[in-house]
Amino acid sequence: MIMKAGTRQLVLIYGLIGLVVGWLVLPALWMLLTSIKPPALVATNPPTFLFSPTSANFTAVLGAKEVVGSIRDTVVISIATTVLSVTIGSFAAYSIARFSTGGTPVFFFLILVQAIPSVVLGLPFFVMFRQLGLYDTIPGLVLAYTTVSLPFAIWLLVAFFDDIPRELEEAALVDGCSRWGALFRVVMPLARPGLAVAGILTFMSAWNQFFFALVLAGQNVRTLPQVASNYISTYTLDWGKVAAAGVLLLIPPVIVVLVMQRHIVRGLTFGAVKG
Amino acid sequence: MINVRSGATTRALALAASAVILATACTSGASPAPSTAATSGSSSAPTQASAPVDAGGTPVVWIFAGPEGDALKAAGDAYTKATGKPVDVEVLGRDTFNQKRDLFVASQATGVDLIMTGSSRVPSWADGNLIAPVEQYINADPKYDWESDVFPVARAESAFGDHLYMFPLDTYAEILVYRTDLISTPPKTWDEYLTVAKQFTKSITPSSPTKYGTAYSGKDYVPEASWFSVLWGYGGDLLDSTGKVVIDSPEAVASLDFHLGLLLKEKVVPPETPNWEYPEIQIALQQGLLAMASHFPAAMPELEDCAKSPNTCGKVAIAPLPGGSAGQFSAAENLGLVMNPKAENAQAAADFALWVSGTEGGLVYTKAGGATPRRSVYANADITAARPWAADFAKTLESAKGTIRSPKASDLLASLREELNKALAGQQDAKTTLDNTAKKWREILGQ
Amino acid sequence: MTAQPVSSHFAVRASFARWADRHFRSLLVLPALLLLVVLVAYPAIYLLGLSVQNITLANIAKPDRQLFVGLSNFANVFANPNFFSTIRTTAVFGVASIAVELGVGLMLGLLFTARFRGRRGLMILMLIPILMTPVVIGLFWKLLLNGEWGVVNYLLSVVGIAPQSWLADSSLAMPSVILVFAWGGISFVTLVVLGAVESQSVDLHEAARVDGAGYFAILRYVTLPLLKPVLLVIVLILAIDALKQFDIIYVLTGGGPGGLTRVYSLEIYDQAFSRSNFSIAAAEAIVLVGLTVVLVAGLVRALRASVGGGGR
Repeated sequence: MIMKAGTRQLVLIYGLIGLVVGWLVLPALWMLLTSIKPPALVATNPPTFLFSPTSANFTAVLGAKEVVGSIRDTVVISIATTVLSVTIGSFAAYSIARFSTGGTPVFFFLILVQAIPSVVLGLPFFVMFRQLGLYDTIPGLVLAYTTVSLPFAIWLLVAFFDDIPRELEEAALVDGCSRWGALFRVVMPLARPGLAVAGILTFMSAWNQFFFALVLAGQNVRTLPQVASNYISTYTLDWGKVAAAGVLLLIPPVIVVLVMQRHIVRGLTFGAVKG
Repeated sequence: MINVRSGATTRALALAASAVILATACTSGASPAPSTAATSGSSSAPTQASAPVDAGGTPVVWIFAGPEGDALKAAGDAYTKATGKPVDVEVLGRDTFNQKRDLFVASQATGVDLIMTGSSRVPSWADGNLIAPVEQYINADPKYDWESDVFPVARAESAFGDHLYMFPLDTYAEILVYRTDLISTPPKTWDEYLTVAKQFTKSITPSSPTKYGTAYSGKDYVPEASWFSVLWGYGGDLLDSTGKVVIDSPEAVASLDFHLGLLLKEKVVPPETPNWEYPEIQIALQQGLLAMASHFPAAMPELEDCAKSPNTCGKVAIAPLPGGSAGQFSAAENLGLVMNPKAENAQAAADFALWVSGTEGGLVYTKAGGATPRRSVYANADITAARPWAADFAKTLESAKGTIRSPKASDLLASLREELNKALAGQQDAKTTLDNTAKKWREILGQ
Repeated sequence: MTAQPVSSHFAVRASFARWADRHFRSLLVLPALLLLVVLVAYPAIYLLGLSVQNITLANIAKPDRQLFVGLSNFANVFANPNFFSTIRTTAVFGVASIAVELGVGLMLGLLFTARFRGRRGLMILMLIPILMTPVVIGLFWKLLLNGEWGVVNYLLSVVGIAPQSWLADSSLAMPSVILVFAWGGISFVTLVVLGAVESQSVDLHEAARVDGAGYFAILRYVTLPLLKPVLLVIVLILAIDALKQFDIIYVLTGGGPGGLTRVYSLEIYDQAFSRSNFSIAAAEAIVLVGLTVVLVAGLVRALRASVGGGGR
């Protein structure tokens, strides 16, 4: 499908993409506008699009003590979760894709773990982590997040590994490589788009995790979504500050995507795969 | 298809899993695993509720974010400055505070001495031995003025059975917020209320400056509060003084008919009411869409702030909700501090709680943004200067009614809400709603 | 690799290498499985334990009041008059969401494989829904969909559609909730489809083009068939996600109006946090997980049959 688009197709492409992406972007756009709006203009009818912006919300949010610490904590936890999930997830996925390791029982087990709503894990994790001394620690949160993201990463990577023809590894084995060598030197480089996709999605899932942070973190570890929720209470909803926090929450993920997207888009130089 | 799983792998997994389970279950006192219940429960106090101890450390208090959280933190600092005793006030996110608190209470963990909670929880928690009685502290404090100073509803809400369980810090009651530039005298009866509402609903009175006369909250998890005032005004009630279910009485049905009618028949409230709660009503008032609303006093600071609410600053006031032949009543709930039965710094915690909910500390707390339910606080000159509506609210509190005083309150409310939501969505009428609710209630209460 | 060792040191290394090779597939899968089993074992037992007792908030601190009730909680779950309507609501929500996510996501993913100016920028914009925090997503969609001051109504009025109460109207609430939830899943589908197509063999496409196939023919006979395994996994993940979905619906409608958007996860939440009936909530959770596993397994089997026995 990697073709250069002609003019008529371009119009269609831009049109369709524009429409859908417009829909996808609408809340973020509104959030951005709200974060710089004076409070009185947040919910006018008809909506206010033109106004003189204010930076009061951002200064307030960035000035809050816990925000900087929570950014750091959230970044550390998200990266750790991603690295852990993608690494052991890709190993497991390769094994399952190539050899159907574990067969049906493992298949069902993975579905089972993924089907559990986080709410259900709340109380047992709470009790368990407190007993094991993992409550309110970064490793604890990483483990909890990984539980949720690992099955997901495995499924994804199984599909990507399926797409890579076996002939390549078999060729490597014939050439004298061990299975391990074949895996690391031949397959993994080819799986880069899949690994990047899994990495992005896992990072996002960890970054935006809310429930486990609520249950398993307290004073020592703070995540950014938690902090953002502090501005939401039953009797006061500070739209401006929530919006500012939301915008701040967007920045690191955007950076991660910018970094990772090179690996997904392979382009016409993708010539390693033969016939 | 090769189905290979080495026996070694399986054995390793089973071993690891068992190790973790044993590590957790055998040391945890709160594990409800069935056959091990007898053995695992024995590691901590067996069948009686544990009593708080005093290790003399710093008491830990949990509260949710918002004005109360800010106020308590400020009060905590003031307490330390005034008495030299430390206190650790931890502010957690509000929306999710309930879940965290519930998890903590259900797992009977240690580490926190006082938790801020709504008084509707007190009966079930007290009955379940999940909070500790505190009247011994209150009775021991000569300056506390429990009877003479604290509003009756706050006192009732803090009690269950023969004990007191809560140090009240705030009391919320629903009140009528109205535009003084549009309405000179607020309505005192529900019939007057309807007349005024019609006057200010554009679809009924085209010359009305506001789109809707009034509004109330109909969101799925809190649809009942606004109706209770109507119910009591009409002379109905949920349970009578003996605890018998009377929610299906003719007065109750009439009151619900009226309440639903505001939305479904008269259309003097926004059609989106089944999905509206506090934030939406607040915005609607700010945008000048409403002439009045069934709302909360916590709204007033923002409504009077000209930077945030240019349409309403200087033009709003509060009044008690209208009533009927039985009188004018508001539904109220306390927010206060309850004590963990596994508290480790009980006396220090109680000292702080007594101070911050007392006459002196209560004033500090209120000045920092709270609303301590004491007559002296509401009469204080500084407070009335900063909050012109304070006197009106105090009047409301004198005759407010509290939450259901049954350990099964949450179950009862959940059943009520399920039926009420259907009624608000127009799926069933008032009589069916209350008949169904009464049936469920009688089942739950065993009547 | 199997050369004769010349010293004991090499002997150990060589025999380790041989052992590692023989257990290659197991060793690869072990870390992930170990982690999951260890973390999920306690909750699973805890949950099962809860579901066969009668624990509520009222007796959680009174072990002597906690009784073993066998399977009666499960019987109650099925006997609940709301059970079937809740399942139906969940099913409608699930199927509709997946349809939207798959349809729009597939189209968008394929569109993005073309090379055009601004592709990278648009791709990043396309990803925004999964970059945003759910807390904020729910809040702002609620603001946008508000009947009185929502931007959506404003934009629609520009094209002549009358303002609606998107979240409170009995016939609009479910579609609105579905669209907001699906909005959040499209980026995932697009990204995975894009990644999968990008790793497809260029030569196959080249060969087809050389043979004279046009865009849609290539799509139909090369791209999509190659995509089928990936689409299978996508549907699997979307299905599991839709069935356990809670946050968005809770914030947007709370299950209303009148219970019209009350999916199963909301029922579990209600039992656990509103009514504090922990045992019943546990039983319901087990039922939900069970139904999900059965459903997804059936789905996979059916779809795999149409793929033509893709090797597993």
